[in-house]
Amino acid sequence: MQNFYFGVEGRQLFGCLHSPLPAKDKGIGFVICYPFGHERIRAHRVLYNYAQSLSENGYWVLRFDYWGCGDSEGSWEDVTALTMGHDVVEAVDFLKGQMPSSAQVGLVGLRFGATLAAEVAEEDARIRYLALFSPTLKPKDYVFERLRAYISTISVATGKVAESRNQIIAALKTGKPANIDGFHLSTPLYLSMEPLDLLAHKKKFTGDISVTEIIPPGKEFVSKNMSESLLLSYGRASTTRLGAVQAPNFWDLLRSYSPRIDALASETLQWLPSILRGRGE
Amino acid sequence: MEQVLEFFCEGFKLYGVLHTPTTRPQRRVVVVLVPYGMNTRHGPQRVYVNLARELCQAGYYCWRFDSIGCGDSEGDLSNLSGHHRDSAYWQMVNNGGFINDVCAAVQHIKATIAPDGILLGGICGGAIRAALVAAEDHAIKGAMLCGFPSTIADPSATSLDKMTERTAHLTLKAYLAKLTRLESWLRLLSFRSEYGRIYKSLIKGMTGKFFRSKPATANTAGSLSLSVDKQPVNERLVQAMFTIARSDRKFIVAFGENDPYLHMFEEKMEPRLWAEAAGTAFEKDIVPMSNHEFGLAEWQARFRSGLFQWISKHFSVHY
Repeated sequence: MQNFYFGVEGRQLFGCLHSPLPAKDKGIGFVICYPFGHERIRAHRVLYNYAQSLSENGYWVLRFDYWGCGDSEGSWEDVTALTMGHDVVEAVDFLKGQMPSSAQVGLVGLRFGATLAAEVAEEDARIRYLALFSPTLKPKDYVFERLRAYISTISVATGKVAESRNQIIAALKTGKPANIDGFHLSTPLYLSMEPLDLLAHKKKFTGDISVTEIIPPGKEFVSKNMSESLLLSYGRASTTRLGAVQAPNFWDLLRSYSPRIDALASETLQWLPSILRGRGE
Repeated sequence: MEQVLEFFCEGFKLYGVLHTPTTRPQRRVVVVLVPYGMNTRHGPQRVYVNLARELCQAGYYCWRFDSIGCGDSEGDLSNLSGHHRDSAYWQMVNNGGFINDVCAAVQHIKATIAPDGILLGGICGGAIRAALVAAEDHAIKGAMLCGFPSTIADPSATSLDKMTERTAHLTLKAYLAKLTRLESWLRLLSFRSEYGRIYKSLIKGMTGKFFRSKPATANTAGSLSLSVDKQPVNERLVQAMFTIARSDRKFIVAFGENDPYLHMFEEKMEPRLWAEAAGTAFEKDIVPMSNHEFGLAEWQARFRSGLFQWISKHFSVHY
């Protein structure tokens, strides 16, 4: 694994490239799209181990920090969904430059990272594979849910009742920032997330897509209908696959820390060969 | 300038980021930040990155790294026992574990930039590890110990277990104010409220009001929760602080005002530090209203500003 900075001066991104051994190189590379805010911190090690597993099995993997996040340049206060999407494209450019010219590219996304990956794959014809893990289908609903923690934090700090979530959203739209799990939520960031809805429209993506829901042990696959609806919107995809993995919601702040979930890599490592076999590749 | 550096510890390759000031300072002072818990070199809500960049602008070097088995470094902590992984980790930190990689990071930065002065700091478990290493290495001239537990009980206990009188009082006050809201009643009656929090705040808030052993003030939290009160002090940590203070070095402790660990510190550790160190070696900074993890942007900014001022005051980069 190599760690480095890439991109243009003043807007450099931090990246980690997991390269396969030349003898094992399958000629396919993935860019991993991290989730949002605190979920990124909690998920970091699981995605590190996921990337290691894929590279040991012959795939190239690039993990990177969005601009304003992790070790990349920039400030979180200036991040929007648009800048994050732009960073994914830049990461794809970089990965393409590292691999043999014939190599194919895919995106792997977790939670809001999956939302971004799906959005980028709509516009970028280079994306051949899309692996979405527990995608945040409607980011504005996610923000609404997480604002409860913000209200609780304010209430405990001041002993006063904070504004309701609807009042906070209304204020956010007029320029008053909020906060999600300690991460500043600016008006431009919220406004860029608000219109995103993975179920809203038919997709143009023509590659192969896998949607995997991560279901805590002992829980039911309650969002199965939503995941099926998402896959139905990919009517032009070459292949679609719906999967489920029993594992804790490792990105959740309140859950016990999980350094690795081997089932995630297993999902991808079973999915890709099955597609390639189906095509006789 | 920020650059990735590699170093080795116990046969594992570890990674970190070194912030180098663009204008070469007269004195090379490097601030080393120890990761908190099993997390990455970025700190909670990226607070280490922002602090490092601010310090770097002012002429300081700053070195953030990932511990063994964390972030981008090699190693594997998944063998720490399953569901109790956090507890197992904490017990090891409290008992002086996970310091070899901190020592290796310090040695690496000594070899890389030959600093005139080294400061070591961290949040929560990172603070404990920083204190233990600083005590033994006299090249470390100062320590920044933030939001750390003073007892050796399991700090991964829930926030409800650690709720102090002050936090319970504020929580209870907020819940009482919510009684005027229809939305709150709907949540309560539809089983969506946090009943554990309501119960704890009621019990602790009410009993604290009538049976308080020591009055809470604007700067203190009042009494600790009963379970915390029985826990033994982390003597290893106290002795490390004494060692730093007695060797004419300096340290600062920083906490959020609503961090239960502040109140642990005030009751169980601070009186002994004042007695031993006579107040000359250490300073205390409290971030008003903040919780343990400095969970709002303004609290993070205030936290960074407190550390920045302390560093600037005691460790100049100019002769």
